[in-house]
Amino acid sequence: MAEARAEQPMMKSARRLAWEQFKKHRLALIGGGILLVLYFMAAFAGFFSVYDPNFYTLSPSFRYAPPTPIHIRDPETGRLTRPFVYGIKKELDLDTFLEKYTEDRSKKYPIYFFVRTPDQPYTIFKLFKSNIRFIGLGAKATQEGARLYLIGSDNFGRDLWSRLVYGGQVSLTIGILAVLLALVIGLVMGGLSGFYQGTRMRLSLPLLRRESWLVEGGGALRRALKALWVVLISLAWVGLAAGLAYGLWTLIRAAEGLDLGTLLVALLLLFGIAGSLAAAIYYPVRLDPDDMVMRLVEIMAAIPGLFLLITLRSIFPANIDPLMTFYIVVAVLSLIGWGGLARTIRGMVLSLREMDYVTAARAIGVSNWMIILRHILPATASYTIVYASIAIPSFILAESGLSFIGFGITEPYTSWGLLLKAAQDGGFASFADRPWVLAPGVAIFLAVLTWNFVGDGLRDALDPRRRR
Amino acid sequence: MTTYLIRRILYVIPTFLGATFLAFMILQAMPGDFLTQLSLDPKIRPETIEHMRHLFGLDKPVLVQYLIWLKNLFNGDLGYSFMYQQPVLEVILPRIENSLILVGLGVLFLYLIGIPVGIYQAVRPYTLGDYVISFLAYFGIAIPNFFFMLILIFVLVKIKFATGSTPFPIGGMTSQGFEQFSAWKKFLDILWHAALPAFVVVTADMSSLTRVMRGLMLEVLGQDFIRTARAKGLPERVVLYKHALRNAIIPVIATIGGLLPGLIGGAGLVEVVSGWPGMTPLLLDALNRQDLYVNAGIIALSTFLLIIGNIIGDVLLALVDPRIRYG
Repeated sequence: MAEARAEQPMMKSARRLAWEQFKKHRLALIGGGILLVLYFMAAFAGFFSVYDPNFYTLSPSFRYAPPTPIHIRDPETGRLTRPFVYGIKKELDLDTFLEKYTEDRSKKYPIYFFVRTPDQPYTIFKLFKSNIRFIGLGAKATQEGARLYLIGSDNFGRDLWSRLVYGGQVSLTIGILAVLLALVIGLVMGGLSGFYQGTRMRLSLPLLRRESWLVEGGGALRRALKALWVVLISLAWVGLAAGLAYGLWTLIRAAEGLDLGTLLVALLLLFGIAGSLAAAIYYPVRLDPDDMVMRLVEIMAAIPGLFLLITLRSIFPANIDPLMTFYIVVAVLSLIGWGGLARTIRGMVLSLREMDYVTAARAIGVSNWMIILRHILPATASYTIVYASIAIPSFILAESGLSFIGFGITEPYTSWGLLLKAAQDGGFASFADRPWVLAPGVAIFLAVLTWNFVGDGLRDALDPRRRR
Repeated sequence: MTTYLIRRILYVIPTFLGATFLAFMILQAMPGDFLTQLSLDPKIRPETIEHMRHLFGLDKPVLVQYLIWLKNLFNGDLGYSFMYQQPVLEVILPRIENSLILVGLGVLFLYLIGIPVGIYQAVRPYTLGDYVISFLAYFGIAIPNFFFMLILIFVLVKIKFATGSTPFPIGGMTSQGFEQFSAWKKFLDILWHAALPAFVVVTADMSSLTRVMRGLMLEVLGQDFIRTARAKGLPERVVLYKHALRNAIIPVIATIGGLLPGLIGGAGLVEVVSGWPGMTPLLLDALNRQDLYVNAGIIALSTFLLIIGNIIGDVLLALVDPRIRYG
């Protein structure tokens, strides 16, 4: 069997074809490789960081220390040795009155690999405790005031590299989590909207219509329940009318004279009151679920995304639990992001539900939910995958922007956007002296760039028309 | 066309009402309001605060507050800013003007640079120039615009330290002594300040526009009627701009409508970084101070702008593509 298969090159599975196509896309492969490295480092952040991300000392304090120069030549013999650094000495520049960091050449501190730092243990995946770090000077050197700042330190003297690695945990996962949530909302809303397009839901059971009271089969109890239901729904409509009438009343009472605004809003309200009364008594209101979802998407798309994002975020006070903030940011991002996906999925479902295999499934009595989940949504899989890979970088960008203006992740958690915010806090002139505080931006750029590469590769691989 | 236009404009009303309603509800869902912040001030008596609460209608149910706000909106009154002690419209309008300067100049850059560059690439595909521009385009799409602005400012500051003057100003919107300038000089000064941020705002869109333009142009240039046009001896300029470009540009026009929403919001972070007094810095301030009517006003007006932008895009598309007009 296996041999027979191998002789038929046309019988490759769709997945295999896509993978082979993906492999031809060189940029996508490079991007995927870099991404794997980034995610690996973020996952084992403790191992790859030099210090604990929140470690700093007040005396000596190393605010905005530059990257520590690493020497590989022995100063006495001039021969290559194991890499080492000197201690850091802080001086006051008498010309500018700014702190200046120089090397203290009196003692060398060798750089160790796989070094134990018992003073700063870490946990990986909240499970494994360890204190081995990939690179470092060791606990003794730290105590003596020597520091290994690979790219510099921040406003507290915390190691920027370590914070960058830990910040990656937030920045890199937030994109994926937000996309997953947006996918769930978008697929469900888009799927329902497309599938039930045309089947209009009854939103009112008018009292004066005979069909409102009709009960299919059943005894007195069911009939009584139905009657109760009819009355309740009609009461809800009357309640709505009453609420609108109250609004109208307060509006008219507050108005000084009759102006255009009052007139327009009053007309709108009168229309609403008449409508809901009619719905309660005579007019059967039916609403297409498709209309409802798509109008919602349009309304949300009508508010500029950034403004909606920061407004939604500011519902929640800034001083709540940082972990909660993380989840809120994820939720807010996905609440903004599901609309576009839902719209496309709806379009695809509209044509998919007319397919013969869907009709066949319906004919043998498969439930609607099963049809949507098992027969329709899987057909949108390749689009969904491409959407996800394109949406992740945009969510990463959105999170960094949100954190950058102080509406995102909060301390002690850190993300690349938040690190950049710290860079800008001192004003324009301040970061001219310390370019290393811009490093988190490079990290964002790298992550977004590589995700874009992967997204391009996936799109080409999954779209048969783009195959080469 | 008129029917299409009327239908399209009528369609806006429920969307606008829905969007403002949604925004108003979100704003009201925030814990506390401006007056709770005031009440922390021991110098202000609680009775004063109660009085103000009544004056601004903050003691009424949220829905009623929305109705009153909507009524005032129709009358051209957006309410009163607690923070600036001024009518909201007077606070917001100059800010919106500033944001529109940035976005308008950006859109100009976008098309004046994006389209020619895309054509250049399509005419010389797979050459060094093409590869370099493609690489830059990837770069432009991936770089967060606020980070790009930070880098540019960093470079400007370095230049300033080295030479004492800068080719572009570092942040802000006007130079010192702006008030004494003549009208023409004022205009130039603002343009000079807006150039860099406007360019940064559209970097990502410009990058994708060149990629799209290159692809579209390449596709059209490969078609038979181009070969025919060349075969009958038309000058290359006519082939490119009359035959190819006119066909390739239709989908680009379709993107105008979709662009403005992104730009109106996307200008925001650049405004914050470069100290441009636009809408977003004001919104951030107002959100922090819970200046309800300023928030609602900004969202309402920007939503209005965005909807107008979408209509312009749709109408342009309907003008160039008859299938939509009669659809």
